[in-house]
Amino acid sequence: MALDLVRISKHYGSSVALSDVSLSVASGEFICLLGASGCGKTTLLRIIAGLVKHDQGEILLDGNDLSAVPCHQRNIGMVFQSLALFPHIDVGENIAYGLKMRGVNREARQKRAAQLLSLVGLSGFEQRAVSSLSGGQRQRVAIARALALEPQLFLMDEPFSALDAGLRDRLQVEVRKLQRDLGVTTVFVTHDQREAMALADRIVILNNGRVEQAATPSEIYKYPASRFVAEFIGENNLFEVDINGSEVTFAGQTLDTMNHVMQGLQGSRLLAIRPEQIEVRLPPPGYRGLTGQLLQQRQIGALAEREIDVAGSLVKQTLLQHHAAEIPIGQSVAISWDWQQAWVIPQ
Amino acid sequence: MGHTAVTRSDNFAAMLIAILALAVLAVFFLIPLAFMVMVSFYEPDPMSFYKVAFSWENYAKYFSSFYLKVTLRSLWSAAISAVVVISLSFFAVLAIVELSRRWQVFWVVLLLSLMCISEVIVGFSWLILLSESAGIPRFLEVLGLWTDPRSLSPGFGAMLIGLVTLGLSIVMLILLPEAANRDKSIEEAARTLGSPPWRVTLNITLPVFAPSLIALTLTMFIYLIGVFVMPTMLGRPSDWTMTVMISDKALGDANLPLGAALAVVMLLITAAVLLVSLAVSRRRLA
Repeated sequence: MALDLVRISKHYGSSVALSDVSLSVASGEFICLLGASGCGKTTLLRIIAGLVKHDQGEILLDGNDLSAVPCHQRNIGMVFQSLALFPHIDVGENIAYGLKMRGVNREARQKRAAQLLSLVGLSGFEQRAVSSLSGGQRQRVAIARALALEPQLFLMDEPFSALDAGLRDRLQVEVRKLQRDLGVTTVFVTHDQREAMALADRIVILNNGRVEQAATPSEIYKYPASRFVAEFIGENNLFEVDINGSEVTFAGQTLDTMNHVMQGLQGSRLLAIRPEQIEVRLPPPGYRGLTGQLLQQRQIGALAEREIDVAGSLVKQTLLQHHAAEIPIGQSVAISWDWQQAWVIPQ
Repeated sequence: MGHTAVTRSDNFAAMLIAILALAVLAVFFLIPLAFMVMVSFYEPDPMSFYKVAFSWENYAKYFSSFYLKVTLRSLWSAAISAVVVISLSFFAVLAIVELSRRWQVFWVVLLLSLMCISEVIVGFSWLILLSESAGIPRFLEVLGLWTDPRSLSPGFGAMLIGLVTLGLSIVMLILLPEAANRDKSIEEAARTLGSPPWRVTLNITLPVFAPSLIALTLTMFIYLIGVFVMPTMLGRPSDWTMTVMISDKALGDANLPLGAALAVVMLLITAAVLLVSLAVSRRRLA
């Protein structure tokens, strides 16, 4: 089922939770809503589920507006951050709860619960008490319960945030496989960009209740649409350059190349270059490009990180440890990059 | 060495507190209870409350149909009042925690104020409200809903209303923090799974609250079975509970041995009801 959010707005008193959010999710697509705490991602998810009423806008599921449909009639499966399993009934009854509400008979409910438990790798857990399950098992039960009604839309609100890193990685792989197999349109909320990158077909970055960018993980990484995205996703070196005719300057220094990236642009622009694209070397004789002073160099496992001061601005470089030639701290260094990997942030 | 010293002094402090608690319990509960059990076997003496003897006569009197009927009425009125108090409080508290912060504070202050009002004043208030001339019957007559209004007190219903009023503020204040701090995502999950709000309350919220509600019902039952003022003010003599009877026999008729015997039997019956209820509820919740 395709989901279209059209100009959704939500206010809590005088504070704006969501402002004019529009988004189209294709049928079977896996979307991650990513942003810092308070950016509005959980509010948006709860609005889609019908748990929070929006002030303006439309929620279209295959063209039908859900705005006036109460939560219990939307047929949306949701996994909550706290998992929200019912503590007073066993695992089988938890999974079959939605079917019971629909009036499905006991035998059919039990059969479906067994099917779903097998799907999430917990066959034979029907009679278990929720309190006897481990964190990962609870997670699987919550997913199975949300899928029991074959929902039109599958929503997940930071479901792995309380799990340790190893288990989280395993469950991410399982959820992605399950979602692909079932082909259910999924909206997943997270504040963990690594999780979003690993899971999503497309990532929607929210900031202060607005969509900053909605694109594939690769596009978001390579071509951030705003300064916020460039700084929020991974590490980035942002150069506020001045383009005057064919001359491009940064911090009073002329950059070594005029490139197709800059062609047709004039005035003050923001250039984003990832630390792994930066090259640092001792300046060759007659070098006229960007220079700085090496402040720090450290080893983190297989990687080396360098920090270079360029007229008061900090430039970071990341490279494989065995590629990092020894340069003395305090040494003046030449800084360059592959212009194919440089990106001018749209204004 | 230092660790051992600390442990020993901690143990000593804990033991001292335990002994103090035991002493308080002995002075205020166990000694009077033992005295009551002792007196229950004595013979009555109108001149000096009792005469030292050993007789089963007082217990034999209890097993007359009159006292059995009063006992059943006491248990019934306390049980039904406790259930009504818990039911009303549960739904009221769920509604209150949905209100704005300001209104929640208003309710807490109101409930605390109600707790401060003496039982006698609460009883008198209901006497007036249930009276024919100035209360609810008169109001219903003015509205045209009751053509021949009569006073609703004294009576069994009026007594139950009084008992419920006494319990409401206490139970609501106990339930408020639990209701406010509960994990609402469990109820939201039920909604996403197709439960309309009323079914969420019955299928999810109520069972999740069940352990607290059962404990509170039993506590209220014990509290209300011992209430003296409401049955005397709002009930007819035929509605009086065992508490009133015990007081009537021990103080009114100066028959302390019979009063003591009735109290001992009532204590045993209440304890038995409690133990059975706890056993049943534990089995149900397990």
